[in-house]
Amino acid sequence: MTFWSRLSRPSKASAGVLLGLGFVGGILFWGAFNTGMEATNTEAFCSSCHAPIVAEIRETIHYSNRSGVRAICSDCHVPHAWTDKLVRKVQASKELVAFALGTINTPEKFRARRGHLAHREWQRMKNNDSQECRNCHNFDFMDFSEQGRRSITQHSTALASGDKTCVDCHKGVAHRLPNMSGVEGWQ
Amino acid sequence: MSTLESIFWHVLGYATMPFIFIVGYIGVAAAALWLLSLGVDKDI
Ligand code: HEC
Ligand code: HEC
Ligand code: HEC
Ligand code: HEC
Repeated sequence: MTFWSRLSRPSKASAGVLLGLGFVGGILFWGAFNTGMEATNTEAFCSSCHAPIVAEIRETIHYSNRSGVRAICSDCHVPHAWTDKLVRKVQASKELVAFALGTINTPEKFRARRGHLAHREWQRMKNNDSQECRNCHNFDFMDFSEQGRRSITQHSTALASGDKTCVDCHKGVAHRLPNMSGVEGWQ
Repeated sequence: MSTLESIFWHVLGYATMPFIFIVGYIGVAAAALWLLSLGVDKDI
């Protein structure tokens, strides 16, 4: 008998059994789906294609610092909200195509394309007001009495007023910068 | 990312959600029907 005819005919099983199958099946499916979402958020997963970048992050404050808090790739590059996260995951299908085409598979190609990719990421963070940074760094709880003078000057003005967002001033916080010629504010 | 590209990915991303639920439903239904066919529904 076909799938559809079975589905449209009553079963001999009790309603309790049928509902139970749906309930347990639903939990298993949702668990498996979210496990998949998590597995594709790990640094091990990203490093399978972005090994050069994974090496660079080890020299930055977001890998090792006095507090021992780490930012991994997905903390900065994948939104937390479920819908935004899914949209970003679907968008990553483009990265699969680019991987197959080998757009950044040699150091030379990566260097040439890096500026373009960095601009895309800055633009994304500008559009969401650096939401990923703010998941960890909350302006409301910044203690200006603990910050350096340069920090206070900028944070209490352009950041507080909303004129600028984190990535407008903080570029290259986790990676080496690309060629910065032509980027606003950099010579 | 251009506005057009952004719209494209958002449409595709939001369309994925109902797709995931439907695939999940079909998957669970297939598994449940198979289990039932081993037991009470052997002769249907
Ligand atoms: C299948 C290999 C592959 C995996 C796995 C992968 N990427 Fe990529 N990614 C690429 C390629 C290839 C590009 C370059 C795209 C291009 O040339 O347009 C890229 C580009 C990017 C960019 C540049 C911005 C943009 O909009 O294109 C970011 C950020 C990025 N990846 C982050 C990640 C993170 C974070 C992970 C892990 C969750 C990850 N990638 C996993 C292959 C991969
Ligand atoms: C997973 C949480 C997390 C995320 C996400 C994150 N950071 Fe951080 N950041 C930290 C921690 C932890 C430190 C080190 C704090 C310390 O020990 O002083 C830090 C330090 C910094 C510093 C201080 C550097 C210094 O030399 O003192 C800057 C600037 C910074 N982050 C900017 C950013 C920006 C910009 C983003 C978004 C692109 C971002 N961070 C995203 C956790 C995070
Ligand atoms: C208008 C530019 C500007 C913006 C916007 C901005 N910062 Fe800063 N930030 C600075 C400057 C300049 C410093 C000082 C850097 C130095 O002295 O080396 C700084 C320092 C810091 C530090 C180190 C503080 C210290 O004194 O130890 C952290 C952490 C930081 N910024 C996080 C952020 C985060 C998170 C955001 C977004 C919510 C942000 N900044 C937005 C300009 C900015
Ligand atoms: C603290 C936040 C943060 C973390 C952690 C982080 N990135 Fe990034 N990433 C950025 C920002 C901001 C940019 C935009 C370019 C820049 O400022 O360096 C960027 C740019 C990129 C790009 C575009 C090309 C380039 O070099 O600019 C890729 C690819 C990328 N990141 C992958 C990764 C991978 C893989 C990891 C994990 C090993 C990771 N990122 C961890 C913030 C982060």
